[in-house]
Parts: sequence; structure tokens; C-alpha cells
Amino acid sequence: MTKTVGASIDTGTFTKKKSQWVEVWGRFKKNKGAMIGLFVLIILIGIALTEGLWIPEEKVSTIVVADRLQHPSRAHWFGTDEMGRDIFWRTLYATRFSLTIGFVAVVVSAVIGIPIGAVAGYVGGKVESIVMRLTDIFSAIPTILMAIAIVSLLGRTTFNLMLAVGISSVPLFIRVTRASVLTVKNEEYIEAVKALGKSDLYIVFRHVLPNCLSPIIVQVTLRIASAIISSSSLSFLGLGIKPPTPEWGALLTAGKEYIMGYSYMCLYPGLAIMITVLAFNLVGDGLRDSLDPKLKH
Amino acid sequence: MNGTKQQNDIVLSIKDLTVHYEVDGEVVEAVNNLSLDLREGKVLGLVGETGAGKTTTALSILNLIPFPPGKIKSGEILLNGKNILAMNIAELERVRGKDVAMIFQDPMTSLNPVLTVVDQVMESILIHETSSKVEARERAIQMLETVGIAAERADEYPHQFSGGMKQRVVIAIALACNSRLLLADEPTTALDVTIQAQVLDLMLKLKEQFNTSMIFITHDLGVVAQVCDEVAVMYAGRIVERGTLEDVFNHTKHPYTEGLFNSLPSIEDRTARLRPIPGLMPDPTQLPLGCTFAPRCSYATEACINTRQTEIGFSESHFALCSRYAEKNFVIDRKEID
Amino acid sequence: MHKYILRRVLLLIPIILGVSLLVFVMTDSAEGNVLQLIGDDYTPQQMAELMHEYGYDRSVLYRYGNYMKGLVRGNLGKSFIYKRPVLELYLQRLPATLKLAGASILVAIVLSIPLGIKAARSHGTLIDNGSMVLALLGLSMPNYWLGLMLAVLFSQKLHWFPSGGNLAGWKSLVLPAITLGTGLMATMTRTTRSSMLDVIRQDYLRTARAKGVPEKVVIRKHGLRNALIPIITIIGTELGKALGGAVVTENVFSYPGVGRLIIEAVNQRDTITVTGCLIMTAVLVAVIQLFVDILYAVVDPRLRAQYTTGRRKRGKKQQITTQGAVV
Repeated sequence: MTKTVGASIDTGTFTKKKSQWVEVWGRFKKNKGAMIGLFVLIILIGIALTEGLWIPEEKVSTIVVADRLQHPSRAHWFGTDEMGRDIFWRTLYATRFSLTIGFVAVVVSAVIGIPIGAVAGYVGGKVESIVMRLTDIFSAIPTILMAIAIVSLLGRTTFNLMLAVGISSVPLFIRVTRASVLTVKNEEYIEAVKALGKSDLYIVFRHVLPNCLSPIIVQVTLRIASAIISSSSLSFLGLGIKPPTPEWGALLTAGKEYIMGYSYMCLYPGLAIMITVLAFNLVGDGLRDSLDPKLKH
Repeated sequence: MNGTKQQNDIVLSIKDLTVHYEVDGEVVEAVNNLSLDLREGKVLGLVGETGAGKTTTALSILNLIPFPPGKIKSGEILLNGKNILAMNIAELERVRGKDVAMIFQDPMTSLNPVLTVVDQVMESILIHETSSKVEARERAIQMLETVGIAAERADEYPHQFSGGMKQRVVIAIALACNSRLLLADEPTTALDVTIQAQVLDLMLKLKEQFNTSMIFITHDLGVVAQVCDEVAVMYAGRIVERGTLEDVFNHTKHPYTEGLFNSLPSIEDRTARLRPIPGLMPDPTQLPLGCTFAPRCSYATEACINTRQTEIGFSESHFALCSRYAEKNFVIDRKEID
Repeated sequence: MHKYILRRVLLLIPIILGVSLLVFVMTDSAEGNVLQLIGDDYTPQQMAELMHEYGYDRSVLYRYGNYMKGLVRGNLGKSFIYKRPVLELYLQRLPATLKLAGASILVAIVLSIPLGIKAARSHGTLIDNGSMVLALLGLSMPNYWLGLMLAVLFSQKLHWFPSGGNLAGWKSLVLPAITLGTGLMATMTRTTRSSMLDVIRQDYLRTARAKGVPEKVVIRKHGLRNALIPIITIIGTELGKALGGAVVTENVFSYPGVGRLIIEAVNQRDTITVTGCLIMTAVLVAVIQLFVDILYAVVDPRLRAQYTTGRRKRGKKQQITTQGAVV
């Protein structure tokens, strides 16, 4: 994609012109799947942010043993769980929890991975080789196993879960950032800034990285999707969030016990995960296609 | 081959070919009512700027116009007497590569990277002729040697060759079955001048050796002068002038052809300014009814813009599409050379 | 070519070293110490002996050193819980996991490649967009959830397949393979499609058609052969993911493979087993990656040339064999 370089006078930052983002948005809009995904995401995030306001606490955690294990009905749209709690409301309430976990995990990955990848790509030479070798070693272990190992190491708390999922995705961010940086660092405007005598660190963070944003944004979106799945997988395996916390993975873990006969307990939280993750994937894909249309056609 | 005695001489006959491309709701009129004949053993130079419709014409002869978005709207293409456009896919597959072969423009991308060059030449032979693999391989190697590629390199892959050598491989592939008609689409444009000379030499050699008829597509008049017997000048999908080499070069009639010659820098008068043809080619989605060149023509009149053009003949071989020649004394500036 | 292979194999060594160090340090520090958990069963003296036997009275590095010494000789330690050598436990469970991973990749390939090709050839149409969304759907489903739902439907309600264990021969593989394969299929379909799309545009397909090559052969010999190259690399990565994803799938179906072993070990704090299994898995993944890379170089002549620099001189007789002749 040919980048038009527009220099603003006072800050001297070389980034894409505003009009290019408008172009990107135009392309994004055309992608029906991506727009649907975006729509769903906005709803989900809306729920997550506001749920404290309109979801009554009782619906979520009141135990009414008499009502336990009821199949979906008019009173309880998704049925009730083993403690008589309404699954519909619990699933809805779990939105915030599950989304938060996904976001935090990816923030962890990004905060660690992006600087490392950027420095490795920019500096090159021995530093790059060492970093890439280390990354290879790290990624020789399948992500889930790595997350499992980290959780066992740190202890089974929610925070550690996010940390574990986050850390296990670091290699990916390192790779993607490094690849982008490699492409960008050879462009001429970087030489121009170098000629101005700015320090390397400044160049990397102020000029190189902002122009690598596109693939990174795409990765962030896609990683949130996979982080949600990973964290729920870990919960499912008993290594993460435990019931009765309303989190989709935990709901599934609880439902697992009653799968034969009461499969609705797993069906709905699972659907919730699927829809959320699908939405993120659609948006991430849409971003990828609209940020670099060459790739698609 | 079918055909009467007279037609035996004519290898290719295109009648009223019209090809459109439909893109994003708009119709690009790439080729309009094009007609030409080619006799055996002759080399026709098809000249014109990029976008004039030369490649489209060539692809039509093979009926290889990509179906969406291209469409052959009307016309007949008689190859050795049979209409290509009426053939079914099986007949087409028999004809392609055997009766007519094509050399494509960009050698860098025209070869399959995972097959050896000898394989790619052999493929033609094995499809069209009944030979064993061994025989086919021998013939393929011979063909490669004819184009100047050593036998020891036959089992190498395309990426191991330079641009000029790749183009020779493409030529070898096209010649593998000794087709009667060869379509060469700017075969030397992607090459540097010295290689260009070698390739042109090669093509002349082939013409002599095998009496192959050729349509040589180019925008380079110098190359035309070296290789071609006949010339057809294309503009916006139509042939605006055609004739023998002598006709078109020394007795130029059409203003566009004149413009082409004028835009060649003169080696004698180094300080003279370049004289490009003013303006741009017309929008192919909105071609006018009258002369398509009129907006850029210094001789244009009202009539030119509004009247449908018809071919005016100057001799048995020489024709031009310019209605001003209907007038008694119209001449263009370019001097005739005898 | 051989030099390339040798180099890649040698590169494995630092990876194995690095991975084992990483895993070891992680799991070792996690100890909380199973020994303390089972401490009640032993007298203080027996405890002290046990601690000494497992090296817990010394530093991490000492234990690592010991461990590596053992590793090199093929000894991965002895499980606390199962009281058997870790390597033995691992090898006992490995075949089942390999079968599962293999079956899922097969499922994925059989489904995704035709779908990807079809999508590419019908580029832009409903079929194309539909397949892509379908593929994305496969990627968006939590592995274990799909497994559970399939189990409920096909096992409980329809009784077609067993819901667990490994006792029914190939039938036991079906549901887990489909579960695992669906996630893999998604990436593979997308890669096949984009690879085909790329190749379809290529000029050399037009050259082939101009030669009179029958369309079927054009697609197969000229198109697919080029399109498959990137797909092969993906299969390598997917196999790695399969081995990881197997952990969850095996759990859902109580399938006795390595994944199950790891989870059981983690839940019982059997760190020595966890360490050993993680290292072996990582090594396996690295080896698979190696094979795939070599295969890639074999299949793509452009790469082959890169790796045989020095032996290539213009005019000299080539030692690389031709691909089989025209098919």
C-alpha cells in the first residue's frame, strides 16, 4: 500500500494522512461480515460496560434450590443451573468478566511483545538473532500448554489466568511487530528522521511504530478472540476461574457435570463465546482486508 | 485443412471482430469491427499504443479472452478456414498450441516456477503429437537449442534463467509444434536492447526456416521495420491504417500513423523538440460514433467527428480509415518516400 | 541440500536446551511441592530422604543439571504419583495422541482443501463468502464446547459413537477428531483459498491454456501444484496446534492420550511428569516443523536452489532430478 507521507509542521510526525483512514473505513463498511461483527461487538461492549446498571444482582446469584435444573422455559429462557440460578442472566452478566479477561490478556501480550519486537526488528544484528531464537524456543511449546504451565507456576487466580494467557501470546506479537518494523525501517522518511539526529529509541517509538499499526491492530483484535477462548479453555480444565463466578468458561465447567440430560447448561454459554469470538474474528479480518486491500485481491 | 484453393494461402482471416469488457457496470469497447487477413509466410506488425486493443485481438484468436469480464460480441476468426469462435472447448484445445501459438509479453511471469523448462516445452508436444516421452524430450531439447539454450540446462527451473533466456524458453514453447501461425505479443519489450536484437534475429531465422506466419505486436516502429512484411496500425480498438511495410512507412496516409512517426526522436536533428501527439486516447467506455482520433487530429473537420468512418483504399494492399481522403486533394504533411 | 538439513537438525539442539530450561524452571518453581502435599504419609526422616532423592535440598540449577543429565540419557525422572518413569508414561500415551492428531489433520485436509479451491474458483460469490464465514465459525468455537455438543448429539442421543475412552477402535477417534479437526480446518480453508486465488491470477496458467492444455490439467498440474506449497507449511503449524489442542479435546472425551496425562499431572501437582511431557511435546513439535521445512524445500524448486548454493554453476550438468515428466 503506497503510504502518502504527510508531515505536520510542529510535531514532525510522519503518519498516514487522515484521509487514508477514511478510505480504510470506506472499505471496511463494504464488508458485510465485518460490519455485522462490529455491530455485535458494540452491543457486547455496551452490555459489559453498563450491566451493573440494569442487571439485577439477584437474578445472577440468588440460589433457589427448588428451581434447580429446569429446562429452558418462558420463566427462564436458558434454563436454570444446579443452584437454581437463571442461566440467561448469568450468561449475560458474564459478558463483562469474559471480555475483560480477553482485553487484559491481550494488553499484557502487547505491552510485552510489541516493544521487544520493535527493538529486535529495528536494531537487527545479534540482538535480533537472540530475540528471535528465544521466541522460537518459547513458541515451540503449544500456546495452551504454555498457559497451563504458567498458571500452575503462579497459582490459580483470575489475574494469573489473564497473565498466563497474555504471556503465552507474546511470541506472536514479537513476530508480527518485528516483521512490520523490518518493512518500515527501510523507508525513506525514517532515514530523514535519522538524519535529523534523533535517538534510536525516539525513532522507534515515535516514527516507526505508528506506521506499523495496521498489522498490529489486526493482531490485537484477533488475539482478543483467541484469548477469550484460551481463558475459557483453561477454566474448563479446572485451572482458571471457578464457579460460581459468572464467567462463560466457568459456567461451562459447571455445566459439564450435568451435560447428560441438561445440555442446555453448556449450550448457551458456549454460544455466547462463539458469537463473541466470531464477532472479533470478523472485525479483525475485515480490518486486515481494508487496511491492505492488495492482500485480498 | 479445409478451404478452397484461394483460401489455402490465407492463414488467418478476422472479420468484424468486436470485443467488450464489462467492468463495474461499464462497458469497455476494446476491439471494434476489426478485420484483417494474413497470408502464409508473412509477418504482420500490429502497431499501436498501450490500450489500443492489440493484446485483446491476439487473445481472441486463441479464444482466450477471460470470460468475466471479457466478451466477444461478434465476428468470425477463420484459422485455416475454420472459425475459432465457433469451436467447442475440445476443438479449441486441439488448435491452441498446434495450429496457432502465442508468445506472451512478460517472460518473468509466463513460466510455471515448479516445472523444468524442458517439461514445459515437452508438454505441448505430448499433447498435440503422438510421440513417446523420450521422443518428445529430444524434440524439446532440440527446440531449446534452436532458441539458444544449451541442452545441459534443459532440466533447470525458470528462476535459474535471466529475463532474456526466459523469453527464449517462452518462444521455444510456442514453436514446439511448428504452428502455422505465431502470435508474438511484444516479445522484446521486457528485454534490453542487445537481447532484443538476438531475439528478433531468432524470429527472422524461424520465419525463413519454417515459413511461419506471424503477427508481431509492438509499439516500436523500429522493430516493425526490421521484422515485418505488413503493418496494421491500431487505435482505440480499430485498425486505422494497414498495408505493406513500404505502404505504411513510405506512403503514410493516416494522421495517427503520421503522428507516430513524428513522435520518434530524430537522430539527425538532435536539437529538435519532441513532437508527441497531443491529448490522450479516448475513454474506451464512451467511444464516439465518428472518428475516434478526431479530437487529437490536426486535420479534423466537423464531418470527421460525426460521420462513421469507412475504409478508403489506396492500392490493392493499402487502406486507411480516414474520411477526409474522400475529398479530392487531401494530403497529410508527412512526405511520401519513393 | 544435505547441508541445509544438517543445519536445521543441529538447530534443534539449542531449541531443546532452551525449552527444557524454560519448562524446568517454570515447573520447578511451581512446586508448592507435591512432596509437602503427600508429606503426611511419611515420617520426617523419610521426607528428608525423599527430598534428598529428588534434589530438593539443593538449588534449582543443581536439579536442572541433574535433570539434563538424565534427559540426555533418556531418563526424564520418576513420577511422584504414578511411581513410574515419566518417559515410560509419556511413550505409553503418545500413540493415542498421535492417532488423534493425525486423524484430525486428515479430517481438516479432506474438508478444507476442496472447500478452499471451490471458494477461490467462485471468488466473490455467495459460495466464497459463505465458506469463509463457515471457516471462521469453526475457528470461533471453543474446542471443548464443540466436543461436548457433539458428544451429546452423537453419543448420547444417537448412540452412534462412544463418548469417551479409546476402547471402540476407530469409532472412538471420530468425535474427538472432528472436534479437533474443525478448528484446524478453518485456517487451512482460508490458506488454501488465498493460495489458489493467488495462483489463479498467474500468467503461467494462461500460457498453459494457450498451449492447448486441457483445463482440468491446467488447474491440477499448473495451478494446484503451485498453490499447495504454502499449504504444506500450514499443515506443519496446524499439526503443532493439534498437539496443543489435543489437551482439551482429550479431556472432554476422556481420551487416554498425552494431553490427559498432562492435565491429570497438573491437577495432582505431579510436576516432574508435567515437565517431562511438556518438553517432549515441544521437541515433537520442533521436529515436525523441521520435517515440514525440509518438505517445503523439496517441493519448491526456488527454495531448493537457495539451499544448494555453491553447487550451482551455469553450464555444468545438474544433479537435481527432474520432477516426474508430464502427467
